[in-house]
Amino acid sequence: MPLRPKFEEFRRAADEGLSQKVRSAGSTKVVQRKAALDRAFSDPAAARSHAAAVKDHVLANLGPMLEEFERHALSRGMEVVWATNAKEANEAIERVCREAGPRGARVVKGKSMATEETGLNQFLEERGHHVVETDLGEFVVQLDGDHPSHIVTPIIHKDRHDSARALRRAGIAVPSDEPVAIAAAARSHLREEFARADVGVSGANFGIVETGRIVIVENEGNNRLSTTAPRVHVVLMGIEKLLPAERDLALFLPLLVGSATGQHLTVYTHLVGGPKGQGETDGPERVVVVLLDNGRSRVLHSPEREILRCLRCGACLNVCPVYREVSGHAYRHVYPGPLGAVLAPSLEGVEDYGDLAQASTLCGACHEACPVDIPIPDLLLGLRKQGTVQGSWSAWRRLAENDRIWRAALRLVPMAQRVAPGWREVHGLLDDHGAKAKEGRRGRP
Amino acid sequence: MAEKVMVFSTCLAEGLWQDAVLATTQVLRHVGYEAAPVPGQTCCGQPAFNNGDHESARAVLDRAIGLCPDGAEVVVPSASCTAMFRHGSKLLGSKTGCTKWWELGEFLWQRCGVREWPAARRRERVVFHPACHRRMLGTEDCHVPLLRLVEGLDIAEIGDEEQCCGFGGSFCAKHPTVSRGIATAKLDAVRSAGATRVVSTDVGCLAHLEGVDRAQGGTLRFSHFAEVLAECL
Repeated sequence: MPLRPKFEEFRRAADEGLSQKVRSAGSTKVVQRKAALDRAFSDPAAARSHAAAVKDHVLANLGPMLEEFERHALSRGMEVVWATNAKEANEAIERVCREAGPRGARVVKGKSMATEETGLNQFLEERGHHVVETDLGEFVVQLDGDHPSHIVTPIIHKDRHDSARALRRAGIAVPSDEPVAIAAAARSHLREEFARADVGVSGANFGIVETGRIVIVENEGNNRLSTTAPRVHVVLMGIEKLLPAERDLALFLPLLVGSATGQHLTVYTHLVGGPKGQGETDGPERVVVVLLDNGRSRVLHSPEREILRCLRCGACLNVCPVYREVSGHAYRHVYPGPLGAVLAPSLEGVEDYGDLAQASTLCGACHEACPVDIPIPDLLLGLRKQGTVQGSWSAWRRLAENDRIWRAALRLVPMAQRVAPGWREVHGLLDDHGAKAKEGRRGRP
Repeated sequence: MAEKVMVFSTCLAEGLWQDAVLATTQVLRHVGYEAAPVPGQTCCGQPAFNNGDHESARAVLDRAIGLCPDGAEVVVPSASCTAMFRHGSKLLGSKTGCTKWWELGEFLWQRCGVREWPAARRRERVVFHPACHRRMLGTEDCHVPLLRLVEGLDIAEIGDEEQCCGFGGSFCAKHPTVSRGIATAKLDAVRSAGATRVVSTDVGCLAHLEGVDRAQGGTLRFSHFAEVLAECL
């Protein structure tokens, strides 16, 4: 592992404004989250441990629960596809798109991190389909050829001027840089897209085992249009998203939404129950649920299994001092922040993403904020172990096993502090500053 | 006759901030305890643990645990090292026996029930920086209540006080720019709150923040929480 991971280089290249934007957005969200959870639950800590237990129950019985979910979904007239990896998921969705629009389907998308994970947009576009993101933040990301830097607020790294510029570059008239004007301009542009779309693609926040229904939360209404206006609705859902019963939503909706946006409930909560029935005028004719594994089964049988409880609320990103400093792109993966620092190496291997497990002060703010009690720092420590030769600290160990030598070595610490490259650099102790930086520290000589 | 308690003084304090060790002894004496250092102590094992070498970490942690007689009460002037003994030991599968590990503030507030303290020598506005590893101790906040007992000490609230200082052990050497950025946000908040001193439970946080402050030409004071209490005696 390089001493200076790619992570640090990203921060060096970033402009100062970036951390300021992310830090202040993060701070606001932390306050809102606490207030929302205190309002929703008499005992938020108890709610969280109960939620963790429910998710653990799902994970412990994932196979049978997925089959039961499938049975109920099929009986509602939905189609269910099992996808082992991103390629299988993309191919299944592309097939559905081709059937809906043989000469290239028009596809509208609700916000979905799972489709980011599989790289669906690019896959469909390369095969001649026209894909439009309809969540405002995701729309801006798409227009800019960018990637989301946060799993809930994808353009936390941009401001309103950036967003207005993105729309104007795409030929959409935006009268001013006021958020209301930007939203109105995007809305009228996207209405056309909804009206002409063949296929709507969404993610899923929960899949309910007992009923086979899909639950989606959102604030902009674009998901409702994406999932109901086109003739076909495709859902891409990670296999870990199941909840046993609809009554669990009483706990999980306020927990997820409060943690994500500080609301009690989102503006829209959808329970997708299948294609439109006989005599119904609204809704898609066809609903296809694609169940995405893509490494999750492997994680399920690994020491990082608890990360599969994750609801993708983003609370751990908002509190993380490191995420606040660098924002999401530094993590090089669809899932950034503390959750990504565990999930990326778990899904893709420590060889490629092990440095993310190092990019944490292990402060534990993520664990404290997590609505399903995922001990993220403990998991990061485990991942660090996987990427390290055991016994590589044996010289240090021998030193620490002899207190006389150890004490002698400690006397050198203040001096070592002055010459150690890492310590000098973090404190900006360049040569001309060296003199004033430290003089013989406190205590006995 | 004074009760006896052991002190695991931690390598960062021994190496960088011996006043914190001295102050810990003085504070404990004030509440009626005679403090004896854990004989032959070196490190709790955390540096190797955080860097992924669990094998070496476990050996050094087990050694430290073995130095404390079973059933002893050990006071540690660091939330980080206390967390290593209490939480890290579980993750590593070390046997801690019935030794009781106390972070100094917990020991004063919970074990000794300290509810009054002599006044400060002079009025001062300070910011308390809670070290992050307190989260792994799973106990109530003992330090701000203790500091509030000290007349003359004005504890400023800076918002986001629970935010990390950016130290993170070797994190700061591996990610100096990120680490400095985190520390700078904290120091900016301290300065704009009009405080002149930062008080914390952990020498790691203090040395890191002090280093960044000095490099920026700052003049803030940095003190271990035991030093602040000892100054009143």
